[in-house]
Amino acid sequence: MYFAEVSSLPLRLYQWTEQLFTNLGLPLWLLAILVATVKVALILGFILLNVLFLIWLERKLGGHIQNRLGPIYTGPFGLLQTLADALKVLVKEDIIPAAADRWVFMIAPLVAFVPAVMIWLVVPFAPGVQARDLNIGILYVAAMTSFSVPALLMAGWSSGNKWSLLGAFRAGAQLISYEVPLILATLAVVMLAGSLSLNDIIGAQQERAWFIVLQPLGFIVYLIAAIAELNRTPFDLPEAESELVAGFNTEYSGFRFAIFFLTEYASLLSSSAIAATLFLGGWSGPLLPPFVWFLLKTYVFVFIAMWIRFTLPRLRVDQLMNLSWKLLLPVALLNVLVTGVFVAL
Amino acid sequence: MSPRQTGGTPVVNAKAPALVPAPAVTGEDALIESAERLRQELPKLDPKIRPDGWLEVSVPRESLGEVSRLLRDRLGYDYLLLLTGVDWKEKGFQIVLHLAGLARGERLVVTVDVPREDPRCPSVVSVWPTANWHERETWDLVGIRFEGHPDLRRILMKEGWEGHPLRKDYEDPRPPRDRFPKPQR
Amino acid sequence: MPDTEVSVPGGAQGQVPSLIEDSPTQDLRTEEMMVNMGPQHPSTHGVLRAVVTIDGERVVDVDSDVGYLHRCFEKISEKLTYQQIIPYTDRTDYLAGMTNELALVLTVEKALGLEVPRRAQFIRTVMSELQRIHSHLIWFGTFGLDLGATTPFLYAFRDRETISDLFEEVTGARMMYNYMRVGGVRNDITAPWVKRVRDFLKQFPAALREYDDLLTGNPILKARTRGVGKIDAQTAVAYGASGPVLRASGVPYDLRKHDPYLVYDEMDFDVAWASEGDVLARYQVRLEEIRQSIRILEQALEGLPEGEFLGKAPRIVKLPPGHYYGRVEGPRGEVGCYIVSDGDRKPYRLHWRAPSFVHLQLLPAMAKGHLMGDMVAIIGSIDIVMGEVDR
Repeated sequence: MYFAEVSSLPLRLYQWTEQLFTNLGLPLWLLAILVATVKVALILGFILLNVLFLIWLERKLGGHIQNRLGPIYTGPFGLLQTLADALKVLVKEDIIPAAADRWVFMIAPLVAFVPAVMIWLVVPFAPGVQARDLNIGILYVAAMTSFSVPALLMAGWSSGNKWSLLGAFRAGAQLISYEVPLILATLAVVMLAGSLSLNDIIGAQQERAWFIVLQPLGFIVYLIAAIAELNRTPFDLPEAESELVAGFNTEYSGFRFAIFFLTEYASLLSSSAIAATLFLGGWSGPLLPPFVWFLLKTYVFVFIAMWIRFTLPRLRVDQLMNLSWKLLLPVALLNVLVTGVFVAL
Repeated sequence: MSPRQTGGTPVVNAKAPALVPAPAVTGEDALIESAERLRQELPKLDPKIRPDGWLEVSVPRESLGEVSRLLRDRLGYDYLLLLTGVDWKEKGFQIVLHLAGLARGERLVVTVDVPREDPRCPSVVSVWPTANWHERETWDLVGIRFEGHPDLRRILMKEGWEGHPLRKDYEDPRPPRDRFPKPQR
Repeated sequence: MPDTEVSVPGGAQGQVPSLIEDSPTQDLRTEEMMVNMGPQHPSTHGVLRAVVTIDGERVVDVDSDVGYLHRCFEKISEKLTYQQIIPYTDRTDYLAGMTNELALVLTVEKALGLEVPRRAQFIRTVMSELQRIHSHLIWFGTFGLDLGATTPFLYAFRDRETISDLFEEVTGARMMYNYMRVGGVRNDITAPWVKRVRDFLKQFPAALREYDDLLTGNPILKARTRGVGKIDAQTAVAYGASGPVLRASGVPYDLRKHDPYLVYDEMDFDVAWASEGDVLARYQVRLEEIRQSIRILEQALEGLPEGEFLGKAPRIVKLPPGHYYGRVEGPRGEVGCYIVSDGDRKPYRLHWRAPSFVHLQLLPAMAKGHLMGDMVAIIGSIDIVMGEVDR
C-alpha cells in the first residue's frame, strides 16, 4: 500500500497542480511547460549527481583493484574529488587551435552530450516515474546512442590535427561495428516482450522471468557491445593508443573537454540503466522501493564495466573489428533465431 | 638446457635450438688450436693469445672487408659484439672490433690502424649488420668515415654538430666560464 | 586490413578534394605518411623518437632517432679514476645498476689480475640476481601498461618495492647503488638481511603465479603478442642481439653459462629460451628468467661463505697498458665494458657496450609489415632503457 501511495504521487501531484491552474485561470499549456521543465531539471540533476559519483567510484574502485587507495584527500573518502576537478577544469583557458574549424569544434561536444542526456527521456525509474513512455522506447534509445558517431567524427575533423582525425575514424568504425550486435541483442529482448516500450519490457519480465535468465547469450553480447560503444577498455584503442594522445579528444581543453568527459560517464550510466531495464527487470523487485532497485541494478552494470576495465588489456584495431563482425554478429543472429523459434512456439 | 615448469604456462619450446652455442674457449690448448685455425685461413695475420682467453689480431685497413668475410664465413665468427674507435693522437686512430664465434665459443679482437690524416675505413655492415649503428657512433664521436656504410650520419649528437667529441683534440665549444664563481655580495 | 584500391573522384594520386575551403584535409593523401613517436611519449620507454613511415595502418619503415639522453659518459670517464667511474655506470642503465657496476669492476679486476674473496663473489651474485628480478618486474609492469592493462603495473611495483627496500638497506640507495668496488663490494650483508631476502623469495613465486594468471593466460594479450615482431635466429645473431631478445629466437646463449663470471659456474640453473622469436616468446623468456633467478638466489644464499667482502685492492688503481673487455649478462642483454689504458689511473678510452643500443637496430626488422598498434608491444618487448642507448 505504501508503494502504491508513492508510485501514484507524481500523478496526484500533477492532478492537484492541474486543479490549481484551472482554479487560478492559468492556461494548461503553461502547466505542460512547467511540468516539462521540472522533469528536465530532475533528470539533469539525477544525471549530474550520479556522474559525479561515478567518476569518484571509478577512481576509487580502480585504486583498490590496483592495490592503492585512490582519492582520499578531498572530502571524506575523497568524495569531493570530482567536484574539485570540475572546478579546476572550469577555470582553464579556452583554447581553440588555429587550424581548427571553429563552429564544428564548438558544437561537437554538444552533439555528443545532448543525445546522451536525451536517452533518459524513456528510462523508467519507477512505475509511473518516467519522463515519457514512448511506445517506440527501445528504438529511440538505439537512435540516441548512434549520435555518438557523428559527434566523434565532428570532434576529430574539426580539431585540425591528423592524429585526431585518425582517432576519430577508428572510433567511428568501432562504434558503427558494435551497434549491430547491440541492436540485435535488444531485438531478441523486444521479441520476447512483444513491445518496444520500456515499461512493457519490464512488465514482460515481471510476468515471466528476468531476461538475463531467458536470454543469457543476448546478455553477454549486449554487455560486450555496450562496453565497446562506450569506448572503454578493452575497447579504448581510439583514445589511448600510441600515436594518438587522446584521439579525437586531443585538442579539447577546459570546459569542452569536461563536456566530453561527462558524456562518457553519462553514457555509461544510461547504458547500464538500459541494460538493467532490458535484462534485470528495471525497477521491479520485492521488498525495496522500485527506485532503489533501479539504482542497484544500474550500478551492478557500472561495477562490472569498471571491473573489466581494470583487468583486461587493450584490443588492437583489427582484433576489435574481427570480434564484432566475425564473432558477436553471428552469435547475436543465432540468438535472434533461437528466440524467434521460442516465441513462435 | 630447456626451461623448467614452475607453475604457470611453460615456455613454448617444442623445437630444437636454432643454434647451439658452445661455452667460451678458455683452455691453453684450445686457444692454440683456435689460433692455428685462424692462421691457416688467413696466413698474413698473426693472432696473439691474450691471458683472458681472447685472440687478438691486427688487420691492415685495405683488407678489412675481405678478412671480415672470411672470418664470418670460414671461421664462424658470426657475432659482432662491438665496434669502436680510439684516438691515439699522433699515432693515428684505431678501430677495434670484438667478435665471437657462437658455435665454437671462440672470441677474437680485431684492431685496424687508421692514419690520422686519412680517417677512412671500410665498413663491415655487409658482413655483420649490427655494425651499422656502431659505425655511426664511431663516425659521430671519433670521426672515422666508413666507406660502404648505407647511412652514415650522426647518431648521438645533434644533426649539424661540428666536431667529433671523443677526439683528444676536441675543443669544448662552450665559452669559457668561471667554474666556481664567488657569490656576489 | 586489406590493401584496397580506392578510387577518389577528381584528384589524381589519391588526393582527396576538400569540400570546405582551407580544410585540414586538403593535403590528405593515401600515400605513405611519416608519424613521429616521441621523444616525449607514454609508451616509448625514455626519450626515444621513432620516425615511423606508415601506409594506411601498416608500418613500412622505422627510423629511430636517439641521442636525447646523451650525457657524454665515455668522454667524462677519460677524466675520472676507475673508482670514480662506478657511480656513472649506475646511470647508464638506471634500472640495472648492479650489473652495470659489475661490468666495469670485473674488467678492472681482470686487467689487474686481482683475486676477489669468495664471500664478495657470492654477495655480487646475490645482488645481480636480485637486480635481474627487479628490472624484469619493471619491464613486466610497463609492458602490461603499454598494452592497456593498468593493474599488473601496480602489482609488479609492489613486489619491486620489497627488493628496492632490500637494496636500500645494504647500499643506502634504491636506484643508484654505487655498491661494487674493485676487489669486492662496499658493505657487507648481514644475517637479518639474508633472512629478509629468504622471506621475500618464499612469497614471491606465489605472486609470480598471480601475474601469470592475470596477464599470461589472457587471450587478449596472446592475440596482441603472438606472431608480432618476429625475428629468426640468423637475424638476431647478425644484429648482435643478446639476452632475452636472442634467447627468445632460438639461441640459448647466456653469458652466465657460456662465459661464466662470479660463481655462476657453481650454480645449478637453466637457460630460459624459446623458439618463436616474437613478442610473446620474449615475454615468456623473461618470466622464466625470473624463476631461474629465484633458483640461483636460493643457492647463493645457501652457500654464502664467511670471509672478507672487500679484498686487497690498490688504492690507486692503474691498469697496465693495453685494452680489456669485460662482459656481464645484464637483464637486457650483454653489457660490455671496453677499457683502453695507457698505464695511467684514468682510462685512455672507455667504451660501453650497451645491449639496448644494439637491440634498437632490430626495430625495423621487427616492425615492418605490422600495424601501428603493434609498435608499442614491440618496443616494450625489446625492453630498452634510453640511458644506456645514449650513455
